[in-house]
Amino acid sequence: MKEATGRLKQNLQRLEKSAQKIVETRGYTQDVEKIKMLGELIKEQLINENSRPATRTVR
Amino acid sequence: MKILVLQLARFGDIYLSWPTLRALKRNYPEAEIHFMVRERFRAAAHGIEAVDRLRVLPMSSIFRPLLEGDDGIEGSLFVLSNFVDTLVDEQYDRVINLSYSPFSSYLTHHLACLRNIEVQGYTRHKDGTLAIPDDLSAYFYAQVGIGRFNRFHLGEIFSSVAGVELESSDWAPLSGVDLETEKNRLLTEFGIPDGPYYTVHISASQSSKSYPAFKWRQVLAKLEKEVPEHFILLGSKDELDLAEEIMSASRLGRIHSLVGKTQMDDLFPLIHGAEGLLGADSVAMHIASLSATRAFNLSFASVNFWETGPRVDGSRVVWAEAPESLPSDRVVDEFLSFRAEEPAPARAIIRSNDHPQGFQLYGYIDEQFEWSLIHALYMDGQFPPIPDELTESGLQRLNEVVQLALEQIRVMGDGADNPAASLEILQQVDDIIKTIHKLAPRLHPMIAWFQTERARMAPGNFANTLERTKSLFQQLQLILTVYFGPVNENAIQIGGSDGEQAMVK
Repeated sequence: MKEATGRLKQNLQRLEKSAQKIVETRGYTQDVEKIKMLGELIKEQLINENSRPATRTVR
Repeated sequence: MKILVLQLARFGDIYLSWPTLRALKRNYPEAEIHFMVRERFRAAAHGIEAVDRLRVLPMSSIFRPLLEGDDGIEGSLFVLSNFVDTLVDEQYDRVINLSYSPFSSYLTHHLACLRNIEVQGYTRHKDGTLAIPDDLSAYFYAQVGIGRFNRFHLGEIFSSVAGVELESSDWAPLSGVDLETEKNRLLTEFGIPDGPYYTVHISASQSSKSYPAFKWRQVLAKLEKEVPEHFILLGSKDELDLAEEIMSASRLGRIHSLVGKTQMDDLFPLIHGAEGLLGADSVAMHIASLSATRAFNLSFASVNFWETGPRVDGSRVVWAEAPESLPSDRVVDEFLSFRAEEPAPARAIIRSNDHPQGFQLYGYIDEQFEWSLIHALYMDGQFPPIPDELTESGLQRLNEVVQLALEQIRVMGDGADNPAASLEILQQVDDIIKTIHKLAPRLHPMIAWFQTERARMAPGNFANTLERTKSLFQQLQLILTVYFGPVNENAIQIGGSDGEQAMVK
């Protein structure tokens, strides 16, 4: 569980960096939007890692 | 017309979306309605006849590459991208996002921006910042949730966001099943004698919402002696230990456990055929609401019964701060009154669909200030009197800070020598308002309304943003005149001719 969480956190950081780089060079593109989507899905899992998913609290 | 409805929350919110889906189908009978849920909660989307196509967010496929390899990002993005592209290919005419999550807002924008289609619910601006296009979603953002003061039921909020009126027939159970026959089949299969029974949902999604097993045991041990009906325990496999503990209460053989033995669809016939449902705020409660079954709802401060509580007339809410502070004797007494459909006892919260707020409170001190404030801000109601010194002090500070903000905006608009300083002061104003919020929490509805309206401002150039910021502070100033008298002359000058139009709707 800890290993999976760590991996997700690491990947989230990489995604955020990638998105930032693309925004700086090409602006907010559809590719960035998909990266953002994946990042948000990961964040939801991290928020809920110790409980059942409660997605409505994520605003 | 093709409509996509996004509901990416849990079981409960999916069931609470059913009435909206039915109302949409009634209003747009020719429309093809697609309903999107998460893979894990897809069972709650089964049996809703208003849906033409179920779309399932494939969470496990998306996450598999991320969890399996060191370099899974590419793989996960590939799966997600393919899924999103299939949605784009559907060429939806309208997207209704009932999810209120960041992910859903990005997805909504992605589907909407290519074809400039109609959107309700959270989305994104073209620079990726959050966009809240409709007033109902803005209301949700500001006022709905735990620890807030909304009193509209979530089922009705969903329908308002979708722009449809609900009818009582929209609150109906799953279709295509003879519920009575199915109930009899299940009772026979599990060896439960025919006769009147209550269903008991023993747990909820979080422990802070759940009544402890030892207290359920005490309650059911007494009820088994007091009333002739049977009690059927419902729950998931995860709750088998709880069920075992509760079952140890049974002395007369009238408590039966189906915990871990039923599928989601089985809950409809079992709850529909019951005399009532006992339980916390959970999926079973929403199934009772859809099944015209009265509910006896144990509710705690960790949920908001106004927005997710029972919907059927005569249902009762037994409220306590926390599960530990609700004595089993009180639950027994209130249940006996509920069962007998007696007039309200000294203390009760009773569902009444004729009541403007949906629940009639007996024997409780109903702190109305926050709700009245919501009414005033959103529904042209009267602003309530200030309830205490702390709130009065908060309002005074807010009034002062609004004056300060408007002064800085005026200076910047006049071409200030040092606009950076004014801008910094404006940023500090935001921090001060946050602090006032903490110090005077009863002002939440007003401050949350203001902050939400600021968040709703679309990206724009400096002059445009300054103008809209000014207009918003003027609206807040006008509201505060209710408590502190007319706006002073300088402020009126700043407000200009727009002042009168800035009343909050």
